[in-house]
Amino acid sequence: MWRFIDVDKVDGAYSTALFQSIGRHVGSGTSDETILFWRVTNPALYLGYHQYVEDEVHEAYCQANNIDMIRRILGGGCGYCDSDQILFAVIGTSDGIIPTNVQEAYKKVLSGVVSALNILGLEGEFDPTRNGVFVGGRKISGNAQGRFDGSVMVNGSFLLDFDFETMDQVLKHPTKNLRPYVKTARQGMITLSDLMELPDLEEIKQALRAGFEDALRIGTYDGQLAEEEVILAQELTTLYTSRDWTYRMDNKRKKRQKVK
Amino acid sequence: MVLEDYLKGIHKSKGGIIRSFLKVDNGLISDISFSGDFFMFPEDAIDVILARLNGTAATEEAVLSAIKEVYGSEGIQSPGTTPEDFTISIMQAVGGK
Repeated sequence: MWRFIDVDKVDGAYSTALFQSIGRHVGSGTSDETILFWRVTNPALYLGYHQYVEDEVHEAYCQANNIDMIRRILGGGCGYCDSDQILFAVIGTSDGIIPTNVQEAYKKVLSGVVSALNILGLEGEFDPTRNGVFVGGRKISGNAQGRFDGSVMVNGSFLLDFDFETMDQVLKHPTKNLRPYVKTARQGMITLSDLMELPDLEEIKQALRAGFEDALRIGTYDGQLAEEEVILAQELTTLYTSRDWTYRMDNKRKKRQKVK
Repeated sequence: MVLEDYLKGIHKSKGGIIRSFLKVDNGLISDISFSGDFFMFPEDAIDVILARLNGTAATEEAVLSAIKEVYGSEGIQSPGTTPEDFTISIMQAVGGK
């Protein structure tokens, strides 16, 4: 049985630390494989591991509007989030049922999001060229994958609603990870509230949980974070809130400038 | 980094954009860096690629060979992004000098 944990709302930086902490404990065998759900308490911009802040983000806007900027340990592109998205991390062992092949891992796990949509009476599809889940050609779930410390995780968002206006102010390239013909983010993305009258949040979460159970052919139990997981997450949060980490790529650039 | 002093290439692979920044000294690549929204596992293998490319001849054949070598030795997976994609980005930069 896998462990299911819903931490409800947490700080964006803490969430990044938390899934890394859980990954480390799952990978070492001290925690059961885990499905984690959360939403962010404060609007947040998650930056990919290989991205420069200055290339991707309108920093002044983020600072002026209290939007957290968090660099992930996972690659991929930027994602803007607020509390209208359910964020998830499906965290297994690297030698478990999540495939070793990266593409196959996305396909297997994200079929869970497709199943969740089916449960809610909707039709979605996994797009292997973008490793996301789409409804009617528009993205409803964006995703990332990480492999470290003996674990593999497929993370992502499930859009209940979305603040496109703010995203356009935050990101310098809001359509970059959408299909090529898309001119605006609104055109390329879709939310659950676009498709139906939103059910109760718990009903949506249950559908998503059941979708992952179906995709992975597992059962889940309602679990709790271990004390060691929380302690490590708190330690890692220090990293994720540090300016050095957030600007690690940009700082490398500046060092070259000084050398010059 | 004064960007104007660097040769720059940009290539959109299926897995994400790859931006290359580099110099060419006496036909050899130096001071190369990448940025982008690609995925790579392990993520830090990018630093191994960069180290391998510094001092490599700025030719398509040499660049591709060097990157493939690191892919093999590090067991890199990069969904939708291939050594050829990195090479295209780099050669765009080289071609821009």
